[in-house]
Amino acid sequence: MTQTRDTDEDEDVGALDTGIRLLNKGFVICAAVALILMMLHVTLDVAARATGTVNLIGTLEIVSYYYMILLVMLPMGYVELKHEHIRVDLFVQMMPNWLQFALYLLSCLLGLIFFGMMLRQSILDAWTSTTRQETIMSNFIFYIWPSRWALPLGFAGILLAVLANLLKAIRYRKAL
Amino acid sequence: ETTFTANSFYAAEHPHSKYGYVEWAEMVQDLSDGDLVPEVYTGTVLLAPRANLQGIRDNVVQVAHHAAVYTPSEMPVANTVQELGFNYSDPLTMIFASTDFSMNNEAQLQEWQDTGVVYLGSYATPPYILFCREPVRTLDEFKGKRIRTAGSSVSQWVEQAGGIPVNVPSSEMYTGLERGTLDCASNAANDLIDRSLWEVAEHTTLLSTGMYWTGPQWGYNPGFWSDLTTEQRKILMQATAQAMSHMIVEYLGAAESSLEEAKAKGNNVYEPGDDLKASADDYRANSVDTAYTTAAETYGLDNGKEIIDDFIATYEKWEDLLADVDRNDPDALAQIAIDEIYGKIDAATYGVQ
Amino acid sequence: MDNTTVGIIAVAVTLILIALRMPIGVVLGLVSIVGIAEITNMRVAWGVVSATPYDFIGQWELTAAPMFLFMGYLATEGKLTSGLFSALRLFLARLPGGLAISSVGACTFFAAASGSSVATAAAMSRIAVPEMLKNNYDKGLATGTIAASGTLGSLIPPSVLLILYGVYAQVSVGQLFMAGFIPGLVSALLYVMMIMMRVKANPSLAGDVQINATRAEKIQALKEIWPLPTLILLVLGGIFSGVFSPTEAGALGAFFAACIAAIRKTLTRAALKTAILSTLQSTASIFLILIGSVLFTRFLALSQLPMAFSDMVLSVSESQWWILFAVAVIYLVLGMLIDSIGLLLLTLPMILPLVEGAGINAVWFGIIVIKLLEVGLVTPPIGLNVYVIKGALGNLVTLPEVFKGVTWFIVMDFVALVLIILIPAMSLWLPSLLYN
Ligand code: NA
Ligand code: NA
Repeated sequence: MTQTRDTDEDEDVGALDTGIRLLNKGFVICAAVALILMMLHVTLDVAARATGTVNLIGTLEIVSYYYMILLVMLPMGYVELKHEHIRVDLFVQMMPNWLQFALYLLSCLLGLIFFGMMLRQSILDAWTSTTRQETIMSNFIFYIWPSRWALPLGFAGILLAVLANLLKAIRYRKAL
Repeated sequence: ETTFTANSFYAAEHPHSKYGYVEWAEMVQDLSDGDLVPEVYTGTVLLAPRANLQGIRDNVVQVAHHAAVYTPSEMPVANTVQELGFNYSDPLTMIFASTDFSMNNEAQLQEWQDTGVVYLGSYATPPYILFCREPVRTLDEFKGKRIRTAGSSVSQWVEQAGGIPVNVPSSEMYTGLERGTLDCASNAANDLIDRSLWEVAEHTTLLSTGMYWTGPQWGYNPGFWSDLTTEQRKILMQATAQAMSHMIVEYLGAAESSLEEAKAKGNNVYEPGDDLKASADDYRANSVDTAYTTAAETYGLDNGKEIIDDFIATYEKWEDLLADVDRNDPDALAQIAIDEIYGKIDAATYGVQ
Repeated sequence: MDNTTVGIIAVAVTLILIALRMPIGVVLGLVSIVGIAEITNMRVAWGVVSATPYDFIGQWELTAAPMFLFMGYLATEGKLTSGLFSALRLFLARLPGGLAISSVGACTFFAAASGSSVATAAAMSRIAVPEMLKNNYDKGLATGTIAASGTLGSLIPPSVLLILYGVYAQVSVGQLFMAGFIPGLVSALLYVMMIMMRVKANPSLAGDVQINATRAEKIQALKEIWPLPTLILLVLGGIFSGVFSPTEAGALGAFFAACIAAIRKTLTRAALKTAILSTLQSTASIFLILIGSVLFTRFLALSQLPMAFSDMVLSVSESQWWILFAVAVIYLVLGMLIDSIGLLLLTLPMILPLVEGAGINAVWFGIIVIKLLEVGLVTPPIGLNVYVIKGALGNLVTLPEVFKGVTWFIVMDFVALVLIILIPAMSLWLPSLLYN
């Protein structure tokens, strides 16, 4: 079942829109790979265990700290571009268009502030983690610092997507 | 009046939370005549277990329990010391030795400072023993068993002995044992009752696979600590000595009575068979040398040997100090801690920036 | 301004912003940051932001959520579900609300395999809701059924919440598991009765299908049933036999769904692509809210508002009935705002001593608490199960439609609660058979 709204199919206006859309598409492809790998890796681990052939080491760590983080964080911007983040429409639908538009602008603004803050902090955290070569407690040495960078990437993706939606709303003078 | 936030990620009834935080908070209030008021949080409402160090550093909480094993890359010295986990089995000696070492060893003190905590006292778990679905007494029975382990030195031995070390979150231990995705869990004896593991793991083997003690039971935010008066710091030290002694006596009591309770419920408790025990002893015999290597190779310490030797010496010192004391008397233990550790520390300068 | 006042204002602001169509995750997160900064300072707020999202997402137990969603999407896109539901439609046509009733049944089975309500709702929303909508079911009834039946996931064992309660309250997890069984089944039965009564009163709720199937059509329909039951049997069988854990089951379920679809040649490129994109979309939109709600729980904890509220309620009397009533009020009110695990951790240290003091059986009390927490999963404004379903279905339904559809189920939850409280044996009989 596809869920489209008229504005999804808008043509990109200018390089910024195209860039933001392509970036988020790229992120989604990475997340899709993580999703498939998560399924296969866990299945393989169970199969290996059930048949007693080999014992895979580190499934829990790789699944939780890599696939999971990637597949949760990277599609955030794509979801924003598709207007699929969860909101309550009920009350606003009864309001005049100009007010809906104003509230939408406000929601973009709040989004920019929130994701901006998350972006800032996650960059700092990812950087600290990288300089420390962060590991977690495990039965072996397991580095997690690379996956820390999925957060800034995801937050950057959604920040840009909110920006693109904001500009688009201003162009159309209506809430998206 | 100074109100501050105190956090222990263990459940409220776990000794680390119950005696180390909830009762400790009452002690702190009493000793300070209501001047110091800790607001205690238990469980993971404020911070995930792994995030406590960060929470202390960022002043989200002013004092918290932090297990150093959760942050291996940030705490190489503490984790190097923890590599000796397999060597010890007396938590009572350990809690005082560890506190002594952690508040006096230069490298360790530097590490606390670098990571943004002021260390005030230790915790120590009872030895982790095996809770299994089937009897696991001999190497033969051990072979191919999937065993939940915590930490690398244990898992190395488990592998050597023919078992399969697996990492499972504690919330999944019960169902794992119930359904058979796990054969054994290695935990402190009280978990047999506290986590109801006796229901799904009827066979306990009293084989010590190590114990845990590194990282602060009470780690303070340095800014908060520095802003306290010397008098307030002294009161907190006094409370730490008492709470620590009380906590360990109660913890060991709980571990002991849990085994009795499990037996009363019809569980089996075994001594390990000779070959299984020999395998653990063999591993233990080399473990100091292994720890030297791990310190250098895994944790990148060039003074690993000195640190480990100092720790071993401190532990031996405490074996002597506690030789004649009543191990069930928290007041007597607290007095020794005050005489030997806290009394020798200058509350005006310790941890103050 | 004292901390609880900050808490009250923040809750009000949150509700208003959510009603004004601001994205829920953003509102929760932003209000929490501002609130924490107000109570303490900005450094602490940054600290909480820094310490929360990564460690929260990177949890093994949570990996079941995207995997079960993926299984559900593969099952719908690979057309594994239509056979069973069209057969049910033929055979249960006389039963009012047959599809909704089958969905409650399926959720009950699934709950016996899955340890979490959210995972149960996630898996079943994609399997059952689209089929009901295709049959012109009322959107509220279709989604409400799954949102509410999903909560059985925590009452019927295994259950992460019951394990957590057991460790906290120092009672036997095995006894709790046994104790949750009958209340879970009774809840399911109450849902079924309510659905039948509602549809009888208003048949248009369950679509406008006129079915006059021939014998041949019925036999043909029977042949198409197998894919979904096979999938569910594989997943349940794997968990019960211990081949894989409830968390791993999601990945195995997705893999099996893909295999069955491939065997039936319905795993087209387009189907796979839609399933993947929908899974990612649902996961990301659900987790944005989850991140916000974890931040919000931390903020509320620091504001001490929940504690102040509980103190106030509990200070009135110490009688057993008042305590039970007060606990119900506390959980229902706070359950509107805080997710179940956060609420459990926040309140138990305060409530358990009272319960012990009043001599209330801790196993029985645990079942009451879990049932109350489960109601919180479907009450507005913050009802995670409802968000999961909205996330899984996208623009097919609106949030108010789901919340409205769930109302009748909440009424049944109250009936169940009253029964659980009035008849302790409902919870305590099974454990007494197995232990002692
Ligand atoms: Na369940
Ligand atoms: Na709610």
